[in-house]
Amino acid sequence: MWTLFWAIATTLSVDALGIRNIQPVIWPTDIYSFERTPDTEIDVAIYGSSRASLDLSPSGLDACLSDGLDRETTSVNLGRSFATGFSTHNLLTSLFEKRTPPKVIILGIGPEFLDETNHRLHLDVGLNSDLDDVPRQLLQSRSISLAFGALRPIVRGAESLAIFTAQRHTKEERLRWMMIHHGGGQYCVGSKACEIQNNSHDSALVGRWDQHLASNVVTAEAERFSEYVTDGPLVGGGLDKFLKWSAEKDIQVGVVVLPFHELYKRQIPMDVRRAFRGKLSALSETYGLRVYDVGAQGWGQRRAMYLDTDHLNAIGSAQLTQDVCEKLALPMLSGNGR
Amino acid sequence: MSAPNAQHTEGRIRYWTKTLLGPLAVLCWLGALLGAKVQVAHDTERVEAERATTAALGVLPLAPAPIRPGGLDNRTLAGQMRDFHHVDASTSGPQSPHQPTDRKTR
Repeated sequence: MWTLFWAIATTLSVDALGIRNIQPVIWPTDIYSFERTPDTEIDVAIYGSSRASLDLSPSGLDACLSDGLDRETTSVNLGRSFATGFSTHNLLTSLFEKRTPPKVIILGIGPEFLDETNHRLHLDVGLNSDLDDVPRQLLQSRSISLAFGALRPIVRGAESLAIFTAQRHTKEERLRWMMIHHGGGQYCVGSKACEIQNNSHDSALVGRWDQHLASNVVTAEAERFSEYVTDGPLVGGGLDKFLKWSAEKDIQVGVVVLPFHELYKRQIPMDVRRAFRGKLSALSETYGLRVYDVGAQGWGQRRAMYLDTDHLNAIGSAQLTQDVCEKLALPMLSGNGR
Repeated sequence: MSAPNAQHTEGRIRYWTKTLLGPLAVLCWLGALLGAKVQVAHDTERVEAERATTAALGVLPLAPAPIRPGGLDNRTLAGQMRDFHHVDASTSGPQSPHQPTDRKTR
C-alpha cells in the first residue's frame, strides 16, 4: 500500500516538476528541451511517428513559409516513435496547455497511426497517459501488454525521476541541438552546419536500407497489419478528442499521408489500405481536415530518396518538406486552408 | 563478547535500522525531487543561454555526432531506437561541437 502511495506521489511530483517527458523514449524528439524553450508563437507543429520526424524538416518548412508569407515563421517537429492518434491528443494537449498553441498542426501519418491494434500501442499509452486515465484505459485494454501500458503512469514518475537524476536525457546531444536550433526533426537546412549534420546522420545509418529489407519488410505484414481497427476507444477516440480540442483552440489541422517505398507498400494488405483511406475520408468530412496524400505522387520507386523503406533521407526529406509547404502548410497559413 | 551482549548489540542494530530506514528513504526521495527541481531550472537557463549566444554571434556550432552503437545503453530504450542505433561504428565519427558556421539560429 505504501509502495503504491509512494509511486503515485512520485508521478504527481515529477509531472509538477515538468519532467514527465523525460522518459525512456528520448528518440526521435527531445521534447524536454522543447519545453525549456521560450513560449513563442509557433506557426506549424508537426506530429507523427519516426517517419514524420525524418520526413519533415521544420527548418525546411520555415525557409519555404518565410518566402511565401514574407515574414519569419517558426515550425517545430514533435514526432515520437510509434505515435498514434492516442498520443496525438494526450501529448499535444499537455504540451500546449501552458504554451501558446500553434496556428497549424500537421500530422504526418501512415496506416499504423490510426490502428487500434498497433503493435506498439502499449508504449504510446503507457508513456502518454495521466494517473486519472488508468481505470478507464485498463477497462479498454484489448491485451495484456495494453493493460500493463494502462498501469504504467503509476510507475512512470519513479522511472522518469531515475532517468533524470542519472542525466540520461543529456546523452543524445544531437537531438538537443536539433531542437534548440532547428525545432527538432532529424534534418535541417540553411547552413553549413546543417549540411554536415545531415550527411553525418545519413552516413551513420547507411546500412539501414539492407537491414530493413532483411527484417522490418519481412515482418511488416504479420506484425503490423494482421489486424487493423480504426474505430477504437484509444486511438480513434484519442484522435476525435484531439480534433475537438483543436477546433476549440482554433488550430487548423492538416494531414500528410507520408510516402513509402514500393517494397514496404506491398506489405500493406488492400483491405488495410481501404480502411485507412475510409477513416481519413470520414475524419476529413467530419472535421474539415485538409489531407495531402503523398503516396499518389510517384514516391514509391525513388530509392535515392529513402533511408530505409519507410523513412526518407536528407534529400527525400528536403523535397517532401517543400511539397508539404506548397501544397498544405502555405495555403493553410495564408488563409486558404479551410 | 558474551552471548547476552551479542544479542543486545544485534537487537540495537535491528532497532535503529528499522527506525532510520523509513526516514532515510523519505529524505533520499525528497533530495532527488529537490535535485531534479534545481536541474530543471539549470537546463532552462542553459537552453536560453545557448540560443542567446548563438543569436548574438550569428553562427551555429556544429551538431554533435549521431549516436554510435555502444555510445548509449540501448537496453533501457525499450527498443525505441533499437534499429537506428545498430549501425556500423566506422561510418560515423565525433565532430567538434564548437566549430562555428555561417547561419544565424532560428
